[in-house]
Amino acid sequence: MSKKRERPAGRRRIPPTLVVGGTILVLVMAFALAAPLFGNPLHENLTNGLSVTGMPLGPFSKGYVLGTDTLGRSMLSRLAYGARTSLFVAFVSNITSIGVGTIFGLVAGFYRGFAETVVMRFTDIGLALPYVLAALVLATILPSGITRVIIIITALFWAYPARLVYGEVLRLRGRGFVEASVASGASGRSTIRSHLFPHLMPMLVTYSPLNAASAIFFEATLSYLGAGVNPPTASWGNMISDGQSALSIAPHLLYEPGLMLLVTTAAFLLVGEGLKVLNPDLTRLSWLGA
Amino acid sequence: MARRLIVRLFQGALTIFGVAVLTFLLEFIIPGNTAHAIAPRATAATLREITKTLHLNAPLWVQFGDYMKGLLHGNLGESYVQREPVSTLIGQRLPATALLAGAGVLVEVVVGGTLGIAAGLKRWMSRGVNAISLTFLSIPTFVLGLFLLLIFGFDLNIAPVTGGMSFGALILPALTLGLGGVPWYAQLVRDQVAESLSSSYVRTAIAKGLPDRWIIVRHVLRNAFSPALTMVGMDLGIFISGVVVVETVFGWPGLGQLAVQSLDSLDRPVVMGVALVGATGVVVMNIVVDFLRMYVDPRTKLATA
Amino acid sequence: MTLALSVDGLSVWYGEERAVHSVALEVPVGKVLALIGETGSGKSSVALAAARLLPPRARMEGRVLVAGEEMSALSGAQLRRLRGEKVGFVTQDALAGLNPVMRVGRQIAEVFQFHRNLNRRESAARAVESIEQVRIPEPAAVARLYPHQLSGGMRQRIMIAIALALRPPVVIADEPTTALDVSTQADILRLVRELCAELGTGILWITHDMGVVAEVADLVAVMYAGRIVEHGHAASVFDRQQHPYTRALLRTLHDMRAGQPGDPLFQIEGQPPSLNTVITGCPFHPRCPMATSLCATEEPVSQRFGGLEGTESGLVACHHLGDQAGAMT
Ligand SMILES: Nc1ncnc2c1ncn2[C@@H]1O[C@H](COP(=O)(O)OP(=O)(O)OP(=O)(O)O)[C@@H](O)[C@H]1O
Ligand SMILES: [Mg+2]
Repeated sequence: MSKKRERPAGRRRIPPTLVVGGTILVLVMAFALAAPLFGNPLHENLTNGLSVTGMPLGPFSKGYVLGTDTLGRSMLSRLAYGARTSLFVAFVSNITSIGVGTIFGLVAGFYRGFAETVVMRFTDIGLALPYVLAALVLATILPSGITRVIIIITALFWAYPARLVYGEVLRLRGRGFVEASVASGASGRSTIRSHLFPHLMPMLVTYSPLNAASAIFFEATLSYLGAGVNPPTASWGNMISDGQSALSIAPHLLYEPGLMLLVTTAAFLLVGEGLKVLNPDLTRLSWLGA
Repeated sequence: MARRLIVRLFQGALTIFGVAVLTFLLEFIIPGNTAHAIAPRATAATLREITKTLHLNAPLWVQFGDYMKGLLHGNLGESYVQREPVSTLIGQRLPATALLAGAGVLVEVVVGGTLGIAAGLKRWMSRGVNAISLTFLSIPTFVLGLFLLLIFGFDLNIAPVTGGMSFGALILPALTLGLGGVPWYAQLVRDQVAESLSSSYVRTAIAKGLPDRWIIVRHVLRNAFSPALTMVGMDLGIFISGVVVVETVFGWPGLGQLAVQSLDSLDRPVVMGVALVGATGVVVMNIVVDFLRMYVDPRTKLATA
Repeated sequence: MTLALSVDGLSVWYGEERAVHSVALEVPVGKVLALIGETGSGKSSVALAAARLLPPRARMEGRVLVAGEEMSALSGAQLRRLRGEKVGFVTQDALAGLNPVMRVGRQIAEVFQFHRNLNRRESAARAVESIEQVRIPEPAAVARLYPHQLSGGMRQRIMIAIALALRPPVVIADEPTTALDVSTQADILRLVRELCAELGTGILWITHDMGVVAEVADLVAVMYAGRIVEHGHAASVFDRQQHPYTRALLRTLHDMRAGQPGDPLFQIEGQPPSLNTVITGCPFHPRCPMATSLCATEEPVSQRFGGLEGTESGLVACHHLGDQAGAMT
């Protein structure tokens, strides 16, 4: 006879994780938007941007609050443009990968039969792939650039949402959603659009920050390995890769982009956790990493 | 049991075949001119020569047949750059990768398991594990690796920084690889331990008058072990990805480093070969884990028999 | 009359809520005391407290004597020695109560290993004997099985074998047959009766099921709202039905025997009080057909009836004792 204290649904408190994560994300976005204010990320200042021995300037140097990189470029500016890269990749690949996954999951769950078998087999393979190796393979055949990263992330990240959507559709079917609609003469498409899709939305919304965190991670990793965004376009991942040779002398080349990555990913994860608290029956969504 | 083994082997073979088809398609259809990829600055005559020797203008199914026949004989093609069979290159690197992966799993399970057990037993530890989890989940493997390298290699000067293979050189890469998986194991084991502690069978064990240590080791941990093992199987794909990154960061001479170096020189057959071997590794390890699990948790034997 | 188990002034709190109010119970050697009452009346809380198995957030007060030895004050190693050695415990759901990843033989054997300092082989042999004792055929083969490979009845027998392994003077069983089908129930009941007589074990048997009470109980204690309202020999409790609540409970049994299978077990007007309601007077008075203004203001104390000993004696907490003695509706 346990009595759970339940709050009325309308007055649920916003979880602190959501507030903290959301605030950080807004700050990172503002930083990315303000990127042009911090100067040209490509300007190689070989006279004033490097020390007399030709080494990168540390943080709080004259004219460079966050120091410079090995080519004498402003770290502040590059970090801001790197934020643009990360957020852009996260945003676009979130839509593409979750979109593709949702379509496959819906098709498998709604039409069942042969489509289901084929799609779910592919999903299994997609989930078992060694991600980075698969990405390297794709990277060898695609032209480098930000589009390549988005294609790779989409190709590798659709399987998990497909599995989620598929499971959810089966659950909804079990509750008679589909049969009722089809019986009332609705077409397959309109059943999906007006009966299934609205019920999938909360789950997809809750999943998307986790997916975004993974995408940011993955973009950085690929760019670090040379399979993602290539220099001179700034990405936190390739900034770290560029700075690796001077690491012992200029550790800020690791710390600054590393910290940006940590904070941004953590913010997305916190938002995801917060959304999970708001949708208690979605706790089965796990933190997914790449 | 034997039947199950056959079914699993068949499924595994099917998956590997699927991956092989995918690699073939990627290699032979999408990229356009392979000869050009082999020798980017060659003259038109040389390109024609390459095309002829490698049967690059044969019909697709002939090429596919050749490719598959080659695979069955362990032939993964020849490196564009090093002019050596891909299988030889992979064979040279495989032991290093296996060593690193084994050490990484060890770190992952030991550190994650210990933290998880501690957090399951003590409430205040649980908050600590949450914080640690969030931190490690938010640090990409390569950042963590470089960070450890900077601290232990350069600042404290207690670990080698030059790469290569030795026991000392194994510590940091294994740590990096393992720590990435720690949050998952810690959380999983914590939840399992907490659930087990409030279970009826633990109450029975207490009623028997057994000491706490005995109960934790023989009842609680044994029950937490099987889900942890399942997880080892499930995140092998992610784990192998970690291996690739860590090898690159530390200059560990394994398959991952080979793949990344080959990417730089656009040596496609090598990248594909490593990917194929990686996928095979995942499939094989999954089967192994599946059978280990049957041994640890007798219920799984019944469920899928 | 020597007592296997004696509980006195036992109270249990879960946080601020008090689930058991100064309960007293006595289980003589070799006898079965059935503790009955509606759901939520605190039966399990009494059982767990008597076995010192309450969850960490619960708090208890009062005395528990097992074979004359005080158990309520012990902790640590001394308490562990008494558990298993002096008190066996049987849960309702044997599937949950047994470790799923350990062979049942080991689960019995570890009791001998720890309490008797036997090695693995010796304790395994003793475990097989224990399994044989609860009338399971081919005990050596069964010892090598896992809980999920056994039937419900077999599992419950294994639970009983664990509880009886060290021949403790007391076994506490919390609804051990509720999860079983009727014929298995009957087997288990017979087994427990036999073993109890054979080994001289006193049993505190908690149940919902008045049919079970009629089968096994030498003594009966009736609980209501965390209090014992009647405690006496089965025959006298059944025959005299001194307390109005006991009468209502037994009437439902009577109805059930006559009525359709599947009818709800207890149907007494109204609801038992929840843990956080403040009770004044007799806890049963809001639902009692005989309640007077006295019942609403003053809590009745237990009174002895039928002399001090013998099968006609007992304790009842009611203001209207004797007013309607023997009255059956
Ligand atoms: N672990 C616990 N935490 C908080 N309250 C509890 C706990 N266990 C029992 N209670 C409360 O104590 C009261 C008595 O519960 P108890 O389980 O002892 O009743 P019971 O007579 O065994 O019921 P049932 O017949 O359903 O098993 C109930 O109101 C219950 O809600
Ligand atoms: Mg109970």
